[in-house]
Amino acid sequence: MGGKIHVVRYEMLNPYVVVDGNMALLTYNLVNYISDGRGGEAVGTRWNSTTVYHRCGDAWKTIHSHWSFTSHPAFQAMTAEATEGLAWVVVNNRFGYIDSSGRVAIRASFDEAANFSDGLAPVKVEEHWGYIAKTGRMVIRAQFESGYPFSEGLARVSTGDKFGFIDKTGRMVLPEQYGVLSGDFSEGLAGVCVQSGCGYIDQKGTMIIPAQYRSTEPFRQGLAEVHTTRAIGYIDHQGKYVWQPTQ
Amino acid sequence: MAETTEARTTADQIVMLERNALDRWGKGDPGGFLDVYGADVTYFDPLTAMRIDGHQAMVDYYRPWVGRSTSSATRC
Repeated sequence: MGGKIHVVRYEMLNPYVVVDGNMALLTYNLVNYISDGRGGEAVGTRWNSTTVYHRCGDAWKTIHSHWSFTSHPAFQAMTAEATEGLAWVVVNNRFGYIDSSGRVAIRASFDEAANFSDGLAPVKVEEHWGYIAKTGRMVIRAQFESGYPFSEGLARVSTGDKFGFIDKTGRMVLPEQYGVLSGDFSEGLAGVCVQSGCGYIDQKGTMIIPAQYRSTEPFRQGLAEVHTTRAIGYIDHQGKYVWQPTQ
Repeated sequence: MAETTEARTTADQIVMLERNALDRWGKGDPGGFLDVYGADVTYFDPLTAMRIDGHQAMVDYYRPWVGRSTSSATRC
C-alpha cells in the first residue's frame, strides 16, 4: 500500500448498533489524531459515520456508508461541501484547502477563496481575485474585483461595475457588459442582465433568450426560473414558458 | 432474551469489523473497509459531489490516497 494516510490513533465515540433481522445500522463519531510533526499528536479530522450492514451468509457486509465532517479544531470555518477532492478551510483568518484525509493541500495564504470547479478555484489576494490550480499555483493573475467559480469552461469576473466572462487561460472572451444580477453558465446558457432586462446568452455572447425578465436563475434539467416584475415563471431552452408567470 | 443476546453478539461483531477497518485505514491500508464492502456498496463522502456506487468504484476512489489497492467483492 502507498501509506499516504497515517492516523496515530483514533477514538470511536458512542458506537451504536441497531439490528433488525438481516440488517444492522452502525453510527458513531470518530476523532482522528495525527502527528504534530514534533513527536506528539494533534487532533485531526472529526467525523460522523453511518454504515448500513447486511447479513450475507455468515458474514456482515456494508451496503451503504456515509461520512461527513463534524468540526475541526484547527479550522475557523470550512466549506459545507467540498468539490473535486478539496475543501476550503480558514486558518488564522486565511483561506486554504484540505484534502479528504484532512491534510493541508494548499497552504492557508489567501484573503478569501471558493471551491474548485473545472480544476481551478477563485482566490482573493490583496483585494483582487485570481485563480489557482490544485497545486496552489496562481494560473490566472489576481486582477479582478470579483471572480466566481468556473462553470462550463467560463468564469464570471468584473474589474468594475459590469461582469464579463474569462476562459481558463484568463482571456476575457465575453467583454464586461453585464449587470450584477447576471449568473454563471449552465446547460450552455448564462442568465445575464443588460439595460433592457435579463435574458440568456450562449458561450459566444449571443442573446438566445431576449432580455425581458427582471432577473433569472440558472437552467437545471432543461428549465430555468425567471422573474418578471411581480411574478415567477419557468421557461425552457427556447424561452417558451412551461409554467406561466404566477404571483 | 435469546434475541437480545444475538443482537448484542451481532453488534459486537459489527463494531469489531469497523474497528479492524479503522486500524488498517490509519496505517494507509483501505483493505479493512474494502473487505467488508458488499459488491453493490454505495458511499457518500464529503469530498465528492456525487454518490460512489459499487465495490470497484471504491477501490478506484481510495487508490490516490493510499497507493495500490487490490480487493474484490463477492456477491451475496
